[in-house]
Amino acid sequence: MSETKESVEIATSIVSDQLPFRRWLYSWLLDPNIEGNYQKSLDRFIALLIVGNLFALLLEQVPGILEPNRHLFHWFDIVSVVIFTIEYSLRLYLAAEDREFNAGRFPRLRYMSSPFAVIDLVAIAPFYLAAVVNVDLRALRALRLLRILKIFRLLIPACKEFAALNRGRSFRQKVHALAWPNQQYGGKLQEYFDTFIVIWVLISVLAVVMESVESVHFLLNVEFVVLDMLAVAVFTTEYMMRIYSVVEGPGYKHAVLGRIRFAKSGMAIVDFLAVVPFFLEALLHHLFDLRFLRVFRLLRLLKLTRYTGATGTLLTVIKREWPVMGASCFIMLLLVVLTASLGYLFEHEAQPDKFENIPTSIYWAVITLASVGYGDIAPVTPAGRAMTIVLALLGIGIFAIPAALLSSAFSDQLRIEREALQQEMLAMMGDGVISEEERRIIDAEAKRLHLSKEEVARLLDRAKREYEAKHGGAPASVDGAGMGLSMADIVGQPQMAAQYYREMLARICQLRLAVQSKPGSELPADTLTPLERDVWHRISAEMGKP
Amino acid sequence: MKSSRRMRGLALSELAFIMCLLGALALVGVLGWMSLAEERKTDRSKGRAVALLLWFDDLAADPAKVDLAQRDQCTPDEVANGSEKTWLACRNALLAEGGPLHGFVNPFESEYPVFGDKCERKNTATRGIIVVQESLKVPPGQPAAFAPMPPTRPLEKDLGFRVIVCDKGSFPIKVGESRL
Repeated sequence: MSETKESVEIATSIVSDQLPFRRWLYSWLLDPNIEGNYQKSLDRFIALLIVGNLFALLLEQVPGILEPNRHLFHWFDIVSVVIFTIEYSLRLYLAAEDREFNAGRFPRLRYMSSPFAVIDLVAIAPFYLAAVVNVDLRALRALRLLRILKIFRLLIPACKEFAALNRGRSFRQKVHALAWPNQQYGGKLQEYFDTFIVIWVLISVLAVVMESVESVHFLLNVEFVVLDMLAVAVFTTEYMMRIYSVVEGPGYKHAVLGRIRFAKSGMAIVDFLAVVPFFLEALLHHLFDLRFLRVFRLLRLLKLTRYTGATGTLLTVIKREWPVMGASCFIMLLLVVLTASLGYLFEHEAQPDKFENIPTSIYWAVITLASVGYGDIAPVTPAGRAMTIVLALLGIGIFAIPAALLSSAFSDQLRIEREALQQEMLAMMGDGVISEEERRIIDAEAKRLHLSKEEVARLLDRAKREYEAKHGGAPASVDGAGMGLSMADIVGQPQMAAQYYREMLARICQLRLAVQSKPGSELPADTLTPLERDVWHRISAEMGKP
Repeated sequence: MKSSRRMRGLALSELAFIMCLLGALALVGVLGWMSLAEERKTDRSKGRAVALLLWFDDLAADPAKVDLAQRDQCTPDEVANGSEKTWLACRNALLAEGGPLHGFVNPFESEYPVFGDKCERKNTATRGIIVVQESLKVPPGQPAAFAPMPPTRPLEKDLGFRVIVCDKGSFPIKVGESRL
């Protein structure tokens, strides 16, 4: 809830309310050049809806699922078409604001004839067609597959961006840019690749869980096989891409040894275990009972750890606290063995079937010490009961030690990492400016450390103050704002805003003069957006006037 | 030298990777297809087992709906000294023309039997078979127990039974229960 509120505040703060309604709506919903608006969220939502439609289509093919849920599928179809229609209408209405279409006359007509708009229309047209023309329902269902084409609205620009970012790079470097998180070369396509893998992990794990439900497996056994085959194909491709391209990454440079080193790493083993049960089961099921391997498919869930820093932090904490935790585990072990032996000593004669030997008593000792208390084995002799009282009280403290250790070490580690981030910010501010690239690094690190925007702003503020204390002045620009103040502070004071504007303009003029004075140092026009190019040309033209 | 090791713009190592990837995907496809084919065979047995159960449900609810020949063989006689009709006779009638299992052969191998006593892991001939187990009388509160229905078992009124199918690995899949 708070996140939504936060994003609303950001979106409204970057899109001025003074804009005409159509411009404002375009900037708010569809403009890809405005950071922090709803364009990405809208794209993501539409992509999810497309995936939802694909699954609905597949599930509808199973009579056992379709028949009892026919009305649900019907409503989902209607809701999807309504949303897609709204999206199409919105894009059509706002085409006049889109630079791609408003350069000439009839921007809406130009939009309607663009390939993406045709795809959008094709995605919804069959539904409306069925309302006026008597269309075979099966044909209608097949036509709904065309909605999947909408995904190209996201994929094609991402592919173009990826191709531009990787122009002149080798095939292996491109594979590396796609398969590994890479801010410089990956672009949106890499994000989509990650999302694709995450979706498949979730689908395959859900399938494994649902397979264990007898009634579901009875109905969908063939579908589960197909799903597993597709998941294995996806994960095998991913695994091979990683093995092939890992040598492009730091630390794995050698063609053979680098790959072997990677193959031995935890994440690569997880990737391997995600696919190997399929091959073993398919090849050897006639010889051995390998059904237990199916459970190993749940290990695919571990693949998600690649996309979160939390597991890495936890591992660091465990490594760091290992000596203390080892000592605590040793005490625990000592207590368990001692208690089990005493339990055997006191209770064996009274209950030879339950306290049959010391190993059996260990089970009782652990269950009692951990405060689980199933009650299937309980002492009956006075000595045994007295010992259990002491044991239960001790257990609360002893078993809590590792948990408390982990918890405090975890928060300690987070604090250390946040301090490291702050130091990094300070280092970045060494030149008085936080560039876009540095900003991206900060955002990525903040995401990994689960820091909110407010916390990042606070850390930045602290780094800024430290910079000021060291250098005796405000940095030139922090987070896009100047004079050591936030953009909100500047906008709140008109005089200061005007001063800030003048200062920015003066800097651009300085840059223009510097560029002019040094032949061959023109700004690379292809790296600028049309707006940036336009502003640069206007300033150049104004400065050229007598 | 470098250009000689390239083929249509791809270096040999790149080509090797693409070939390996395609090979792995082909292997996944072939193995998946084989699993799918076996799963479909199990599905055919399951489908027939479901049809069998529905047939018995029809027999119990509305005997007029089923064929006379099968009805005669599978309906227990209401006589004091026990029915003379046996499960074997009923089973044969079910496989005969007009029965729910008419024309059904074991999907895994046509020489394998259609009916069997139990799914045996080490006996591949039990793959795809239909097992009918009779319900045993158990004291109240105890879980239901079942035993293979012997061919000579006389049919009784209200005899409970369950139907099981053996899958591609000869593991039992419970299909459902019914009553005569």
